[in-house]
Amino acid sequence: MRVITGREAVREALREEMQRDEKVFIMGEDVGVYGGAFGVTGNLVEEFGEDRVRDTPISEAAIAGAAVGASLLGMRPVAEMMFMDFVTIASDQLMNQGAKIHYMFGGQQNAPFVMRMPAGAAEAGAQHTQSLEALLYHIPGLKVVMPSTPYDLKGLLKTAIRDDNPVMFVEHKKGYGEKGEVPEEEYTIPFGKADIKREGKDVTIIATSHMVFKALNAAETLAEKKVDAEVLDPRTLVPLDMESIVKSVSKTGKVVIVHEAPRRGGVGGDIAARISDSEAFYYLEKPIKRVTGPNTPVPFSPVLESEFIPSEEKIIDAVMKLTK
Amino acid sequence: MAEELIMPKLSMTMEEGQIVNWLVDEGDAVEEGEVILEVLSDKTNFEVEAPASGVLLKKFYEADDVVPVTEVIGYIGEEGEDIEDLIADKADEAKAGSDKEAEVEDKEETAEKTEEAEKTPAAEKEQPAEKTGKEFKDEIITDKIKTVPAVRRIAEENNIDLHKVKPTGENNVIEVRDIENYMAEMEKEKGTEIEAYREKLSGIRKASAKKVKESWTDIPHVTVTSEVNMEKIIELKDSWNQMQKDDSLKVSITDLLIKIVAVAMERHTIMNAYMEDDVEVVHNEGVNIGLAVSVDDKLTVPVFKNLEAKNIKDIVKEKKELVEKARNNKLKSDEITGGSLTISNLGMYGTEIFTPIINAPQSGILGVGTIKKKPVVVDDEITIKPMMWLSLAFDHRLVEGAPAAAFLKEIKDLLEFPAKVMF
Repeated sequence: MRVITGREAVREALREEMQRDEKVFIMGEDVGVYGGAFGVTGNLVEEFGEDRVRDTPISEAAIAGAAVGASLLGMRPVAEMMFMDFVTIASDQLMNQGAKIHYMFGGQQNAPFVMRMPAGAAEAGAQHTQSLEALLYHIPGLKVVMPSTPYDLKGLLKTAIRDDNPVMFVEHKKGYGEKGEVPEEEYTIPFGKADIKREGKDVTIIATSHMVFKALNAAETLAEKKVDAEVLDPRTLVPLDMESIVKSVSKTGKVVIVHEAPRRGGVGGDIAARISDSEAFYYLEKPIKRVTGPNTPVPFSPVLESEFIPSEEKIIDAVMKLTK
Repeated sequence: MAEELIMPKLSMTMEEGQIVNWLVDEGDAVEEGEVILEVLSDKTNFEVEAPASGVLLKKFYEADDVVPVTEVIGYIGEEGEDIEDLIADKADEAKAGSDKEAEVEDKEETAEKTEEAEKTPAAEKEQPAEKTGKEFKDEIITDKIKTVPAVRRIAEENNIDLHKVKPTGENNVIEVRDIENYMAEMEKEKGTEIEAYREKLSGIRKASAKKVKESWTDIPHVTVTSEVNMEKIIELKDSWNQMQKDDSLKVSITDLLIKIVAVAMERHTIMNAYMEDDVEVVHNEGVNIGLAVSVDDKLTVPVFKNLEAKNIKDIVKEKKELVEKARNNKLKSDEITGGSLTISNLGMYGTEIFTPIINAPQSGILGVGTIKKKPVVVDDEITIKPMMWLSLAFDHRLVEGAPAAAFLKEIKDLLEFPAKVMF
């Protein structure tokens, strides 16, 4: 099978969906002529024209508001926050407006838009590196998708664009350069289906977004230490595939949850709580452990930033403590 | 003010009662004197009456709960009356007992901590939660089992007492491997183990076990025996029964035995008494004798009161009544207490001699054996006579050997020459 990057996978999804449905259009800062701050949209503006690949002013509130409004009138906008950090400016439009439409209109009106957001630490300082999925995860009415591999990015973005309600699509900046097999043929991936990226029997590592790659590398090292780790990628946080999580944790009895965002109030805490609250509780052989970013802003210094990001070593260490 | 409903102390020996069932629910109206619950104690059921009229505001215990005597088990008052304070008081009371020790420890600990805190420079006081986590861990002092959910599940599924599983984990945590090892050990031992199953005693059997143990450990028992020629008493019984048209008034050996033992006790008054706390002898006024009655696998001892004033007809009637009540578990408290001596008959099982245990607080117990024809020497000639052994166990604190033996001889003489009853 051919191998492409995460960046190319996202662009393919956008192109295919724009070809399939003329109501789909792109808007954001520098998504047109410049080709996207991370080169994701590339030459799509040449292919589809400026009406369907729209450069916007530097106002995230306006971008989000326009996305909600256009979606209400039957369009299927795919808007972009240049950095996920800026979602705070768009939060009223997303959390107070877009998220509530379906509910407040009793299901008679939908807001079918996608907000793409590059997240994660990548040497860009405290205001351009956050992983704010927990903010969105907390708001009823928003779906939160957080893929890792090129295959998942493409399949899930296509599903997101076809979804009739707001989808927060969190891409990791480092995921754009990751390579992976993606078939030429059309495919989509349903929401709420976790993917077992590596099967194992001794411990479950639940990892999100770019942490999936770290977890997979850690699992290889662990295998040398005779620890057979299962790596579970939830892929979508809302809806969350608790069935697969419960099944895996019940099998291994031990679980380490890995995310890059700070620990306090992070999604990992909620996943841990939901495991405790499930049938899997009775199979737990060890306390539920988390490997996450610390409760600090992301440092600008590359040395400190690499300390901030959960490392393979930290994952291995956490697993070894559970399995000794 | 709401009226307390307490677990009544229905007999001298009653220490706790088991609630059999409530006849009214919370919120139901009750009349003073109305029976509102049934309680089991000292092997029998009692009916407890409402101490006042009103509404049953609160039940603290449910059926099958065992409650110490005089403990408040509920409140009766006016409808809607606020008894939250009373309930809280009761809860506090219950807690006070168990907390007393803990309180002392707590105080010491707090004192230590305050000292430490004062020593710590202000700058070091604020520490991130992660670092203090370890200190918290050390402070959790409890005798509860430390383990993980999986171990608790396995223990529950396999009916394993986790107290028996040795922890090998850090901080004394029972790990999955520990319970697996334990189960493997048990499996290995199983081959050599004798199969048995356990049964928790409840109600009458539990009370009975406790009582018989106390009797055995508190009372120095001595058993004396004597063999009795029953020829005359059998003759007496047969002639009486031939003459008696009313079937319900026909007598048994046991009826006659009760009468004769009562007469013997009138003549040997020390046997109509009991020891209290090693220091006092309590002399009973009337002659009261218990009769051990076996119902299924349970033993109960109804008491015949004031036998000095009763003739054989009275005894026959009373015995029928008491035995019937015993079989139906309907004996009242005063019908099973107050005896000075118990008669226990194992003759129907062919038993001849045994060493019975006194039914405290009593002076003794008379074990009655089977009546069996044996060759005996009468006037230097061997003849065949219906013979029966009597085994008298007595409280050696109360009675010396000689007077006890004299008492037994009195019974023997009266049985062999029943006419002596008149003299």
